[in-house]
Amino acid sequence: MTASASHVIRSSPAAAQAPEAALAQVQRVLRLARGRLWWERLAPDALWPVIVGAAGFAGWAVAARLGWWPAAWDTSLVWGLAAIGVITIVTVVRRRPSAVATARVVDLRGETGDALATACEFAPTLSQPWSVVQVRAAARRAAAVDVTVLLPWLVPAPLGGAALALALAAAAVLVPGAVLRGQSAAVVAHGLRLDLPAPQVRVVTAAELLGADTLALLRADAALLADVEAQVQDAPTRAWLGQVRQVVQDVATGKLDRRAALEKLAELEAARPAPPEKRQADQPGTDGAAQDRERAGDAERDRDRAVQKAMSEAVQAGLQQAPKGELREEMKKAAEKGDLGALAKLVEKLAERDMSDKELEGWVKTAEKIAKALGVNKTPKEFQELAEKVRRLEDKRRAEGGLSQADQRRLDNARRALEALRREHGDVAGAQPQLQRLERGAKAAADEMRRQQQQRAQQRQQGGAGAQDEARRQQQDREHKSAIAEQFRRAADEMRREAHGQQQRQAGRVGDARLRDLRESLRRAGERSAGRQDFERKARGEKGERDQAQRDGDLKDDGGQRDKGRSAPGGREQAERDAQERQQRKDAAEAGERKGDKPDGLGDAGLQRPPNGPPRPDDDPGRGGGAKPGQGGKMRLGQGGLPDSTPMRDRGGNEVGGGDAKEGSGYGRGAGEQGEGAGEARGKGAARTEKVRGAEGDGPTIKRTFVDAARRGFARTGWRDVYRDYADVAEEMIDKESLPPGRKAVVRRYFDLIRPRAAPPGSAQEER
Amino acid sequence: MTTRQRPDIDAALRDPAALEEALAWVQERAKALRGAIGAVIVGQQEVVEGAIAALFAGGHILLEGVPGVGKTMLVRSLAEAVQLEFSRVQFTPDLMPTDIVGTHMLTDDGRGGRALELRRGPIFTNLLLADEVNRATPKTQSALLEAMAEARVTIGRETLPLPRPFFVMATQNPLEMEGTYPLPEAQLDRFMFKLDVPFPSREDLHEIVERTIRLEQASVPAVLDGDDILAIRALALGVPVARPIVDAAIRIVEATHGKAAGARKYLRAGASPRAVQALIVGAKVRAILDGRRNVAAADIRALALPVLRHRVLLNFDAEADGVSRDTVLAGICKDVEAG
Repeated sequence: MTASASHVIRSSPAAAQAPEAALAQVQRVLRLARGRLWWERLAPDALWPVIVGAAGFAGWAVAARLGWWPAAWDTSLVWGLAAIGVITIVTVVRRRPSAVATARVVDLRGETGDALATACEFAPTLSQPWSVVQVRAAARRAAAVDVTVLLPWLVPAPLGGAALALALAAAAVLVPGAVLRGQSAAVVAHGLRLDLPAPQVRVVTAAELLGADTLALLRADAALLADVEAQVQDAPTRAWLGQVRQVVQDVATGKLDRRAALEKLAELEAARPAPPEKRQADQPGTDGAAQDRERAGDAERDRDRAVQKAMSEAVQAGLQQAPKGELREEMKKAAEKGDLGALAKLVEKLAERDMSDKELEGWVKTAEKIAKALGVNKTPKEFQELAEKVRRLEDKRRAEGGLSQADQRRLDNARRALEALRREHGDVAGAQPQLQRLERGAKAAADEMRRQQQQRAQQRQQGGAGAQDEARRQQQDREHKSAIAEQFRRAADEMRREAHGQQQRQAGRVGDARLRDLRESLRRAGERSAGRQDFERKARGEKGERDQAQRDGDLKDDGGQRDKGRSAPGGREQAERDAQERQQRKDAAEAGERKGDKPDGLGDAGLQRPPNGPPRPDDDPGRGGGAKPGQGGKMRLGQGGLPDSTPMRDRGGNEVGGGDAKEGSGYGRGAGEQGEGAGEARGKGAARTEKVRGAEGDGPTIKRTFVDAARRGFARTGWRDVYRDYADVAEEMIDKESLPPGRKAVVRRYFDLIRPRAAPPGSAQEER
Repeated sequence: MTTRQRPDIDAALRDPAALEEALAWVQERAKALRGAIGAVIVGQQEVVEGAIAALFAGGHILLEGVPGVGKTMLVRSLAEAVQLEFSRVQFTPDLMPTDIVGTHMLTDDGRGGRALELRRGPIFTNLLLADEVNRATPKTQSALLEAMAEARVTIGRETLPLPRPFFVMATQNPLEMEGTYPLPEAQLDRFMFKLDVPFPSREDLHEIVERTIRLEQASVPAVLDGDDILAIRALALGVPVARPIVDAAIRIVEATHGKAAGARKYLRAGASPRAVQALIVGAKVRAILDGRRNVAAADIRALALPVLRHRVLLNFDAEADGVSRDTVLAGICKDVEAG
């Protein structure tokens, strides 16, 4: 217990120092010492985060450049880096010494006898005499302390390890990729090149790109195609429909990615089976557009409708001569519906019937009347006049190299009126060959029946009255009747053939329509995804897609060094994939333009959706003009019904048509098919307003399509969805990047301002 | 050289300037006391400082040393220097408690009658030297318990206060253990410090020979009185101690209860809470005697051995390994300081 003489403090004038000043002096020394002590505590481990981070980066860089780094590990990498950061921050904060701890260290090293620690402890009670005395004593001790000697700045450790780790990291980036892969010196001689790997392209299934409602609609489409497939009798068409259905199902269930789906669609479009009868490509009205499947399908449908209508009218006219009875009524009903299949059955039934002479005479007259009615040119005079007008104006344009404004307006009006007539009556002119064939068949049958009838009458008048003569007459009578019945059967076969042809063409159009819809959905989803990725890149501070493509192009133009230098698997494939992707995008855009040329964008092929099916987001809003709402729960292909069996969907995706569900010919017609304006505008890049003729009393419908937005795939996407996608990306970028808080606030404020608001009360309109 | 007057302690505890003056007076008196004792006692600085600290702290000390090293001389010198009443009791196996505390004696009252008269024992003094305290029976040893803890004695049905200050200095001889009665733990715990009186060094022996083998003996000047001691004690008890310093004391005491590796291996029982009190009070006194205004961790470390060495019990392993208490306690202090 030896007293330390060096600690003796004698009473001196300095002892009268103001306690506050004395305390300030102590605190000043402690502040100076605290930072140095903090660093002293951190210095031994200060470089470990640098070592770990640099070594980790070097490992990652090498693995990534050699293609050994799976993209799925990126998230783990981010979490690892975040963990290192958090551990570093926590360690730094935890090692910050308190003022008392600092004072104790200074006391210990400065041999101040714990004076500074005691002063810190009792500084809050500076009014107490003992505290004053102790603080003054501490101030005197602190004045004699040289903090720079007690706590010198230490060199962080381990310095060598950090230098080594940084060197490794630099080497991992700067060493040429060829050296890493152990390639020849000739390849290395290209010089140092930052051969960082191209961004990994994650294979995104088409189902991931499409929205939930679109996927639901695809599933409904698959069910629809299954129905149609079951009804089609032509084997190639049935097989083709099955393939279409399979692709739709695969896309809906995520088995196909977007590229594969588009390839499949292209294959199926090319593989659509031809109709059983030979197409007459030089038919008037086809205007040489047979290669355009959509146009050809529309022309087909118009011709079928014209044939169906002509047959219906002819049969109804002929039935006026038919003997009254149940059969006549049934045939009348079938004729009114344009159901050629049902008519064929009824005619067959007629052929089997044992008719009296009077009845036979009546049916023969009916056949003659039908043949006569079919022989009449069904082309309306107005149609002919309009066609002539259009032809004349086009000749004038060709001759004069243009048209005046008034003539151009007249030409447009004439075309629109012609198109309206075509929609109303079908393609009567184009259907003439079919009608003539039917007329010839009907006329031959009627003539043959009349001839048989006359021979029968003559034979009845000839001959004796013996039993042998009577037996011969009866035999001849039976033969005549059989011949007449045979003619009826031929007529029935002819109608059935026509009905089957129409049915198969309809099925083809159904498949075509699904293919087009699917392709369009994929195109839009792809563009939407590309737009979002472009936004993500910009949000990360990178250049946009176009700039990236330009940069890629620059690299390729640079002697192809980039591709040459990358021999690792995946490098060239990646470039090819990029090129294919760009080509597909271009093809899809061209396909969209072709689609825009077609006169009827929707309502093809008598498609009927399940009553409660989900609406298709890209359906054009249509207004029903059919005679009565469709009642069928499933789709049935029509067989000889009314000329036009195009269904029509209202805004909610439900159908309103003139079909009879019970009869299975659930096809109607309405203004929904008049969406060609939208298709045209979409393809040609000019926004345009179309006036759509709705049902009587419903008033006109105005429809506008903004082409730029539609091309980007936003026009049919809810604003809420778009906002959510982009806001999520922006928020993620804000969290990841080190941005000043003020800038973050600006971005958040912007997204807050544009976020979707709730619709006003009473408004049923969805927020867009 | 002018001597400062004893300050008004109450005033000093209210005014920083007066407090500074009082502390300077304490430092001056302590120096004078050390000088007075040093005139007689050669060397033994640690023992002297411990004795002085215990005197001002109001504690008692147990001196252990071989015969002839100056234990009794130290006590006597101290008593002379502070002008306090001094009693010496030589503890022997036949010493009775009443021989120490006193008793009622049946005496003539001078009028032919008899009365019980209280005969106070030698304990009614300021400084009591209990020489070779371990030679008395435990019954006699226990007579000191009440006096040392509460500064009073009970004789029959009468409880009497002892004069203030009351200071017990007991001695015991570590060599002659035959016929001795080791002090019980309760008794030992009453001693603030146990001071080992070492054999003097050669230089000190030369000095002792020179001073003592001559006709005229050195005298001890009186430099303090009882009131001075009480004033210094009051001042010392008022010294505020920072919490880390108190923590250091507590951790050392806790370590004797098995928290330190050395304690777990060699100690059978740890120190009592009185040890913490003794450490803090002793540190306070040590600080102001040194002229410091605050208690330092070094004070705690310096007092750890005197305070703890008689409060811990070694186990069989320590005895078998030949490890002393001081060795174990030094290891504990080192561990605590490092931790």
